[in-house]
Amino acid sequence: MFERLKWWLTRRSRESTMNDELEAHIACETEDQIARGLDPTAAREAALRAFGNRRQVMEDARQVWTWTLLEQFIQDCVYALRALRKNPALTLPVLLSLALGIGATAAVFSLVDSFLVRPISVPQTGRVVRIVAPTQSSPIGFLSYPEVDDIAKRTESFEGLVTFRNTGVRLDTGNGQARLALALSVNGAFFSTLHAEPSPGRGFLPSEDEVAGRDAVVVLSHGLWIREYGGRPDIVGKRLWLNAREFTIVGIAPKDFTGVETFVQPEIYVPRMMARALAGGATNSFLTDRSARITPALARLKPGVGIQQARDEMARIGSQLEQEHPETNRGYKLGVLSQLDYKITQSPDNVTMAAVFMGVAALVLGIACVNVINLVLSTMPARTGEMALKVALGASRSRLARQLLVESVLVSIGGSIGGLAIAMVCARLISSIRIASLLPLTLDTRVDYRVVMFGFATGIAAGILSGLIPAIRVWRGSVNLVLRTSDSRLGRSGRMWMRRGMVVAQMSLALVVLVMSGLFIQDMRLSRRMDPGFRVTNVVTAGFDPAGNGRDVAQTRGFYNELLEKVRAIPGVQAAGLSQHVPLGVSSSNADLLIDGYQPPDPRGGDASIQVSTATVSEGYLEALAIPIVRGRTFDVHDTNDSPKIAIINEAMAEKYWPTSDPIGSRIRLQGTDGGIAEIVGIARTSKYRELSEKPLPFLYLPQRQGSRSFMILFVATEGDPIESLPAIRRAAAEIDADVPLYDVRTMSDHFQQQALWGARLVANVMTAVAVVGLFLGALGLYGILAYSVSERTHEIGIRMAIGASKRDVLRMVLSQGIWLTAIGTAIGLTLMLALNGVTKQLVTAMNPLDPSLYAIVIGVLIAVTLFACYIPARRAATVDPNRALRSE
Amino acid sequence: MAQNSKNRVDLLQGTLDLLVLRSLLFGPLHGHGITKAIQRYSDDMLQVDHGSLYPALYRLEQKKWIVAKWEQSGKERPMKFYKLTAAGKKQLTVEQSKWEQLTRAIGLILSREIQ
Repeated sequence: MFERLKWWLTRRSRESTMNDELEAHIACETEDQIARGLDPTAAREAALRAFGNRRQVMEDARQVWTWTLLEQFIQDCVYALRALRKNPALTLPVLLSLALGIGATAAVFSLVDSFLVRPISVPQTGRVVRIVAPTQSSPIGFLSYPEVDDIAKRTESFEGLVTFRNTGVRLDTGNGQARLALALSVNGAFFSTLHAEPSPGRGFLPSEDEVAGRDAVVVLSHGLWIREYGGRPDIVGKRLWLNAREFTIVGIAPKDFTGVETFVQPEIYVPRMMARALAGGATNSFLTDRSARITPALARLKPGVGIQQARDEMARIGSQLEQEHPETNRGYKLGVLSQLDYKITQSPDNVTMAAVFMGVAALVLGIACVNVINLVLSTMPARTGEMALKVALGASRSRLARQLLVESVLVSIGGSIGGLAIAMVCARLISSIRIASLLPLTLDTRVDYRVVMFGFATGIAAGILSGLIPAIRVWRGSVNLVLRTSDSRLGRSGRMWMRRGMVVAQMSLALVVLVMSGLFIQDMRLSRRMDPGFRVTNVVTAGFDPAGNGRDVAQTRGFYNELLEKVRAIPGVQAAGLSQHVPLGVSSSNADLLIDGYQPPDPRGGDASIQVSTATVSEGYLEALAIPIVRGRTFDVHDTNDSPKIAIINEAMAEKYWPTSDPIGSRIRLQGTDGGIAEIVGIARTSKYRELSEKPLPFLYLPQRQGSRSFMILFVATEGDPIESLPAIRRAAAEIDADVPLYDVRTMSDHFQQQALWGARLVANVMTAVAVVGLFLGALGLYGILAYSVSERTHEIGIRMAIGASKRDVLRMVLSQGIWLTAIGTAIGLTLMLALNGVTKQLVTAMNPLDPSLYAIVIGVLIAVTLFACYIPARRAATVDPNRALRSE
Repeated sequence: MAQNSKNRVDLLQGTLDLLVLRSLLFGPLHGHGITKAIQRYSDDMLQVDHGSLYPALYRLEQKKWIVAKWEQSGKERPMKFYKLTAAGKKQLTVEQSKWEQLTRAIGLILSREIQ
């Protein structure tokens, strides 16, 4: 093995050495010819002629190098395959164990990959980085469009900059069935910078990135093209309607290119210049407003430019912008993050989750490996004869050890293939879960080449690891020892101890895996019952988007005013209000603001503004969700564009930014599009906004009547079943504007069960599956060792029975042996869990990580499985016929 | 080769290794030297084909019967010299006795046929 490696490493120098050698040969020959009287040129020609086909000579010589090595390797493989086929009782359980272990690991990896690791799928994706503007409250703050344009003009490190914003649009392909679709509004350099050039068709032109509202062009995603147009190639130049406005299709995005963010797979790409037109002209001057930091930005490094160089340059440009625009860019900073760093910074929780996932999967793989070691060891006595014979015939020990290794690597390749098949099924299951939300969001898990590489790498590592122990045994043992062990009781009992130790290890790992998954499942159960801080029962929601039907700002405002009025008049309706987001939904917004009199703890840490979560809501919303106002007042119908701007904050925000003074009456300065100075009029009770597990989150409510949003969700609280009031709500909407459809009609309790707990449920399901696999493998290991031990002890059991042991005694003896192993394993596992308590505490929200009932259940399951695994070997032991057992040896 | 002799014979399959080992018995030689040595000892009857000499050298080297070393040989050009190892010497005696047995056996058969 080592030789082969050395040969590979030195092949280049060998090659040149050979060349030199042959050249020297020809030179010698030439000199001989000169000595015979030929002139130098003729002499060399003669020498070359005599030498013959030099390339052929070199080729022949090269084959010598490769051949013996390759030959031996092939021989090893052939032997290994023969040995494996001859012993299916060993091979099949080993394959099964490895396939399950690798399957679990690869499936978990593909999941982690999909939400954390996998970069945007474009050529040389490692060169694509995030540009961020860190602020006081966010290390990954967004940029404003003018800033991105400035950077693009000045940079020498980047090929180009890319901006993108998600927006929901009403898509009508002309077949009469309009629906809501996810669009990405992007800048002109989007496709060219990412090297994701549309085909057929083209990406956006620089000219289409210049004038707002002029160029109504779209690029379709490959998926949409296939689904809606059957992949017709003549699609370029055809028309479709977005929010009732006509657009021309100019290209189809590449098949691999499914967007730039996790979960978000846009169906349509539109130029950012069209975003305003799509929103019914509602949104203001966000294209030119420096303080409107609303867009994430990506950039592609120029060839040869390192990320540090880019960071230095961005720091320079950041301070230039600060000097040029002191009014908007005070304390402004720019940073560059790799795609992975960005995701880690964005949600450190995901990293912890990924680590736990991978850790648990690794434990299961560990259990599988122990199984394999045990199984291989258990066949060693039977193989000592074969080994001894080989040694006697002149095989070196290293060759034998190598052959065992080759065997386990071959098996592990088989196991990897099986495991990847399992992972593929799992990935398909996970990605088929459509997150119950307005827009199609899915976790795009897939077994791509990286998962395949990962599967094979872990598989082969597992194979080598589990093949190593038997191989070392063979390496260490001399011929004599190998020949002797078949009747050496001592050697055997030593091996039994080792194998028992492994079963104990398996059981302790199984306990850890079970407790971990139990924690997640139980935590999800409890979370479901947790108080989110808002009303869940008897509330129904429905989305509206008048701009999607081409209504302008005034029409939209009129629509909502009338809608609220009519819905409140429906009998049984207690309260009705609008909000931009559903709490615990997939979408959320942030607001950048300055607070008069508030100094950030570290003024050098970036922009002086702070960032808080926000939602635009109408009067009646807080009432419909039963979120109480603890001080001050709520919004009412008189808070319109004609009255002074106001805002409501929650208790968490009041405590954080007004620790000593009264926030009511204070002023905040909102940055960006809907900017301006607003007065705080009320404080609402803190509820849950993004996740059930979140800590108290500072939150800002802005009045709907002072904004101009088109997409809003109606919340209606009713006395009885909210579904009963739905027809009346639909009727009310239709009376105002029959064209405006209701999107995503659901009750709050449905939303709470399905969407809010989507992540927790996925985690719980994955952990359950992994735990079941781990438990099964552990049981298999226990069964294997006990069955083996019974067959080894047949003779002894025969003697025991002959001198008076009853069947029950024998049964009890075998069972107690298994239970002892489980008991020790459980004790070690419990100690491990105690040691891990610090980590597990962070992972659960509603649950005591040392919950005694959970531990009781897990230990109960382990004992049940132990008894089950012991029963068959114990029965076999109890039915031993003393006569036959004593005669057999 | 210019002075192509008519009484040249082809090398028997498998004998090249033996000849190479034998020609190295008196001291290290480079590839060209081995060719010439074999040619000289056989009165120009045996001509070594370069296409099989170098593969044979590498094969012997890999079996650790000979070792190679780059050395300055009188002229400016460094040459790769092959030297017999202890294992190579042992192998030479094995091969030699095998060859002798074989030729004796063949000789016996052939002489019987004449009778």
